[in-house]
Amino acid sequence: MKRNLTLLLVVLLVISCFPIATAKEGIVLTIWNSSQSMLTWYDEVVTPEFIKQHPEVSGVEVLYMPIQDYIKKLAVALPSGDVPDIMEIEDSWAVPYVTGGYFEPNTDELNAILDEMRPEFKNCLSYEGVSYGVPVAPFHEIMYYNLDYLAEAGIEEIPETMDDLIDAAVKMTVRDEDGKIERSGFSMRLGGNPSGTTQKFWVLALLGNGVDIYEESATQPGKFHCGFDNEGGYNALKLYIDLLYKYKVDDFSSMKDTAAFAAGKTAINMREPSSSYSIIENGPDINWVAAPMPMGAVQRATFLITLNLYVPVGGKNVELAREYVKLAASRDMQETQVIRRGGYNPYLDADLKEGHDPRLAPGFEMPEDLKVYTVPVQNSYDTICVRLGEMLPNILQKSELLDNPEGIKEEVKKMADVVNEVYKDFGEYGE
Amino acid sequence: MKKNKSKSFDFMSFIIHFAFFLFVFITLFPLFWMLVTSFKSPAEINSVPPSVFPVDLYLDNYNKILTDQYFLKWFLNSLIVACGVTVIAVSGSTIAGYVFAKFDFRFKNLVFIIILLTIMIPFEATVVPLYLTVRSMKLVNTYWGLMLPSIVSSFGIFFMRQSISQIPDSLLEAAEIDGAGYFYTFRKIVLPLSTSAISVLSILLFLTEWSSYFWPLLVATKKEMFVLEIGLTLLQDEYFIDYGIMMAGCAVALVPAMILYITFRRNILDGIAFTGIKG
Amino acid sequence: MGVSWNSKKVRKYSFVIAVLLPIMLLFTVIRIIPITDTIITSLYRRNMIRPGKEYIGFENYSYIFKDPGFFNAMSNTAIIASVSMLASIAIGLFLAVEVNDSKLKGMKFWQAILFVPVIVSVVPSTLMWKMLFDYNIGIVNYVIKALGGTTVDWINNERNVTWVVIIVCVWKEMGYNMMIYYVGLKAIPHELYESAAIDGASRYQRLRYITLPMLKPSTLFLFVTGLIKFVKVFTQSTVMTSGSQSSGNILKTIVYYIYQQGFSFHSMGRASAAATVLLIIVLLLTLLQFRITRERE
Repeated sequence: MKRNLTLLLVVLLVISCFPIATAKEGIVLTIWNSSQSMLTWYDEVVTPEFIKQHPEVSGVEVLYMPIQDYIKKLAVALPSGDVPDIMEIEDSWAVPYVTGGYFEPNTDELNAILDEMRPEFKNCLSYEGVSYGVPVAPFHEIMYYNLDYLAEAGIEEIPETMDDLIDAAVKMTVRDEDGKIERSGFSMRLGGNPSGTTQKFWVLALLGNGVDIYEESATQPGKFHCGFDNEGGYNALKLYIDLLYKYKVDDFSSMKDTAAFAAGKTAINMREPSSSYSIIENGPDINWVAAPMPMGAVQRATFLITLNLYVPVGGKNVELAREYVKLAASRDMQETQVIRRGGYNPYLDADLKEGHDPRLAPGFEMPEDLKVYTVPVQNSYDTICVRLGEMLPNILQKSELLDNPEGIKEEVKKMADVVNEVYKDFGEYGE
Repeated sequence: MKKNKSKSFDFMSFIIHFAFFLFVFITLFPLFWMLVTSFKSPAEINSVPPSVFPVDLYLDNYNKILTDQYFLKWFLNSLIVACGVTVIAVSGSTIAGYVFAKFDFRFKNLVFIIILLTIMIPFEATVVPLYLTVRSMKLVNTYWGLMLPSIVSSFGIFFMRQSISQIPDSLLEAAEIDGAGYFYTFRKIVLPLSTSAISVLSILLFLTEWSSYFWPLLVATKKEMFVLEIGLTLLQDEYFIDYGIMMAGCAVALVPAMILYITFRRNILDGIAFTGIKG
Repeated sequence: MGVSWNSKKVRKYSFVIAVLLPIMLLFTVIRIIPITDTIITSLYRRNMIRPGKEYIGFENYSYIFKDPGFFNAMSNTAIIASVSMLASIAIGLFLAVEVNDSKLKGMKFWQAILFVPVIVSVVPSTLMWKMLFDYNIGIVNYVIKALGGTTVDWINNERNVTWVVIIVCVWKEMGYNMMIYYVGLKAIPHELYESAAIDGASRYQRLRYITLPMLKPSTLFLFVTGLIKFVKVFTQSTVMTSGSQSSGNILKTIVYYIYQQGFSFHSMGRASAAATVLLIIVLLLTLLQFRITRERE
């Protein structure tokens, strides 16, 4: 038997000497990415154009990894110097690598592109006055409404404020005879991967109530502490508790998120625009429309997060990589990105609604009062999001927090303590 | 009295048989469900009540996997790495197991305990220094790099030691009196008596390597060097758990493991009469 | 005489060295050096993606021992590991005895079937179970409801999902344990049972006084390897509880904790400290296990 196995091994080794994908002549650039919906855009739009402009390049290989795997791969590969030519990373967790000096600073040419884009991008890409990376696929948070369910509940207007949204959600929640939620009024993110849980809480509850996760220290610039250990933070947590136990528009057991929306199991969902493609594919019969975030108790807010292309230090074809980044971020390419992926056009003078599915386009209306937040350039930020996201599900499971101001205050305090503890741990804390 | 006893005995037997087939059912049902799910469309998977057999035979899941341009390459990579690891690690484990089971020498227990100790620390905790080693040996993106962490198996050595120590010393001594060398004794006596243990170990090591994910993810930085387990995750949707394609991928990946299992199964059962795991 | 004894010794040692030297060399490179490195790193403050490290004594240990997340991970791991191990050993023994004793036809076939979960990949099989136990589309709740019971949210509740993870672990392990026990059973001489039958021993007595003592080495082997395997449980618990469609916390285990400290928070020191604690726990349990077995003998 062992002899057979050895034989098999020899045969396989011989076969493997004839590679199926034969090595191409010329330079091959590599991109690592973690967003599957970007793959076809690179392969079918950017790369062919790039090869036309640079005939010495024979191909661009995009290596996709699911995000959790990508995080691990980066943590091992980057410090040891095994880098691709280009990396696509979300700004929310690229920061430690930017501040660690793993990426080439932008050239003047790339900076010129950044200057033509919305100023928010430059803010979240700059560290100590130097900018790193160029946005190629920005996205913001929007609301998805199921129009049939709205009509069924007799609601004619898309909810404008958080109170309207709650009203509508209450009316659209459907339970079966056992009281089990058959269709949630509003799909709440109550767990799963922790940073996603925090992200949703951040935009819907904290920002809507006028507070952020952090606040810059008044006395020490560049140092931070928790920004929600106050009235706003209290109202934010209270909003979530009320949604769950007072208005009961969702619970822990219902079907969640885009999957639920596409299956008609939720009436309202909050997600980035690119998820619309999943709705179209998996729920073709759903009659939906997108809309901007509703007006919160204090303000109307959304976040703008972006997938950026970075050129790592130590890449083999730095110059060509920069050219590729330049091309991908160019106006022409960004227009195709918008169409193919439902993304956000980063250019200052662009019409955001242009190129989108008519159902999605209203999500790109940017009302005057909409405040756009970006991710801060702090090493500790990603860790904070994970830590908060691990606390939230446990807190939200406590139904006794309903109509219990003392209890809510106590939980907010605990969350604030964790935020401050992480800042201290990273040496970024300031009173 | 006697009659009564046999009656209660039958009842016990019935309970035992019932429990046995309950476990068989628990084993089989998820496998069956996996198979039928792989032929369902996403809409059908999410439908309530769940359908047992697919209403429409949906082949897209398999189509997506089998027509991927890299599929064959990934499949071969997995096969090469898993077979390579199995052959090397099983050979090493068997001969080392023989040494630990049948020889007395200084520091034997110490060396053996060190080997055992290394199973206990999770691989993930040592991955960074290991990666740096592999990198310094210039093995990133090679088959040897993929195989290196698994080509000696502490579990395998422990397993084979337990098995070989059961072979009666008298058999080995007889060979030695005839003037046979240790390696000759190993080949002519120990090996034939260990076929079932070797078969079990081969299956286990092959499967571990076949389904390994984290290490190949780090070491392979080109699509060409990916293994099947990684390749299959690339077909996932960002916003959905695509159960159908996941199960189809699993079914495809199961084929070589099944072939190996069916081939070795007879060896396991044949070998049993001679040897077994004994301390 | 003396000469031949010496030459025999030389021969023996050269064989031992020839076999063990290459193996131990490889071992040193791929396991011992990285493990030593891990233990040393646990005494340093070291960021995974920054150069440099700072000696801080046992500060990493005091951090993880103060971290409620670590204790949560420890207790989850302890429950999953002990229940899975004991259940799969008990079920494995039962199945092996039944396959060995039963006069029913087709036992070999069923035995082969029982081993199949061992060869199925972990991630898809865990997802499979997740689907079966899903609150909304799962068949388990559908059956419960059809039988008139109240449905249970198996996945999004930390206590329930622990049991589901245990079921997945046992499902995957019981066939393997059965095989190991079966091999052990075949090695028990028939005469023992025959003489027991003459003495009129009952089924239970035979099991208690012959089968179990004879299977002790197999049991010890399964205890040690099962413990080591299940203490590292990670994939099943994470796959079962993560993803944007899940609610509630990810079910943390020690290996998850190590991953998170290292790869998400980039704290190599704390990750190494947690790994070292895990190493010490398993080591103590294994030694205890060996000790108990030896004392009984």
